[in-house]
Amino acid sequence: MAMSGLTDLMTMAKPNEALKARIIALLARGPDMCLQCGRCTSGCTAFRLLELKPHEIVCSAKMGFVEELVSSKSIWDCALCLKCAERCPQEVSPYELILSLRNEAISKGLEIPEALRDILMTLMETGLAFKPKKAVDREGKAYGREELGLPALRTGLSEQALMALMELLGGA
Amino acid sequence: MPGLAVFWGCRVLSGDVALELSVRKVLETLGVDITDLEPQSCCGEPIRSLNLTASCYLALRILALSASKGYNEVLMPCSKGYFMANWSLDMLSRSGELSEAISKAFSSEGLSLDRLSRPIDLVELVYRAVGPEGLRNKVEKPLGLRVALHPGCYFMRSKPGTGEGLRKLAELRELLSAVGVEAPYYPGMMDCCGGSLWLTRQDAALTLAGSKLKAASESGLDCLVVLCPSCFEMLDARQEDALSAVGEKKGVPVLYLPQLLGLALGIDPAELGLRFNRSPVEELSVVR
Repeated sequence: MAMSGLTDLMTMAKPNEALKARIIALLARGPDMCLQCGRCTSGCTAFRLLELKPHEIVCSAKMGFVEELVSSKSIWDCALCLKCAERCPQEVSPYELILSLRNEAISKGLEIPEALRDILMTLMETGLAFKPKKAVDREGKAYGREELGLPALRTGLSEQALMALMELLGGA
Repeated sequence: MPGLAVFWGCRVLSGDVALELSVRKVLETLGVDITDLEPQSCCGEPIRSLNLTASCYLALRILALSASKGYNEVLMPCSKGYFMANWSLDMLSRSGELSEAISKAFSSEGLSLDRLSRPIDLVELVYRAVGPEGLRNKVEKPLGLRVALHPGCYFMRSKPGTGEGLRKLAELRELLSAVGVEAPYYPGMMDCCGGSLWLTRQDAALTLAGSKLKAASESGLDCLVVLCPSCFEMLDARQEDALSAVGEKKGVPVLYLPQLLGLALGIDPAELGLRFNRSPVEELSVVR
């Protein structure tokens, strides 16, 4: 949809169609079919708590005002509960769009949550997002898998999978 | 049902054994064979915000690995893993670019997008393997409970926009009814526990978990029942913090679905890993 003549009169920003195309390229359910009915926002978990408005995010993305979204703090408020994607009558998934915007923000170095940094380190090290550890019961006693009658399980990613993963992460 | 692989996921392997113990025990009692998929690796869920392609790659790799070992289906008792598998399949079917990137990433291991195991969750498995009638016939101890069921986002919305969630919920309720458990609607039933918000907004995540616990308390129902280890972490392991986030004191017993099923099947509570629940499960007479 060519909207290059648009100007946001609040900020004088112009749409960035190239960035928009990149952000939505992978999405199964991109923003272009949005009718602005607002069903996503009316059911949104983070709207009630943090005033996240998914229909506004979808609207801005559809019009190509994507840089503003990438650098906004609000994309990090999404609870990823999928109610928006469930409710949308147009098969748009604000959930997917928000994730893609987060991907862009991280690859630009604008933001990376501390917890996510830790998970990435653990993933590279162990092939799992959280390190395997003993189970601790309510009295504080720790049990290994064997003590609980559970089989030892091999975990981790193969060398080739780790390489492929790093390539995908590096290419973003 | 031979030839069923099981993918447990990181949360279970990092110490949340209540789910693993109870799933294994319940399936053994029902005569359903499962084989651990090895090696177990990340399903990609925690890195969605970082890189969509990489997270879908990790999810689809589990399905491809499982298929390469000859399994048609893979059980994913963790709702997040189950969702990641379904969502990645949806993304794959709609995006040529994704399919190309992942085929390339698969090539060094000889895996293929043409051969993927089908992900199934615990409710579908039990429903298909024994069904509500089969389950009813195996009940040793009808529970007579009225529970606040928390289906969770990733069980209810594993295929958003398709109506699949309501169908799954109906099956789950039939199974619960077979073991003498009623799961009526209560305000907030479909709400999120805050699990995925924990990564970026911890205070808000605890408020969501606290609101859920409060809703369960106010419903007057006997306990909360969850399916997903991420929900369990928020509502059971972090219950004290979640309650104080909303100014509540009264604890709420939280059980995993397979723990509840196991109790009805007459399995010893110790074998269902109930000592690993932090919430006041001892308040329930069926646990004692």
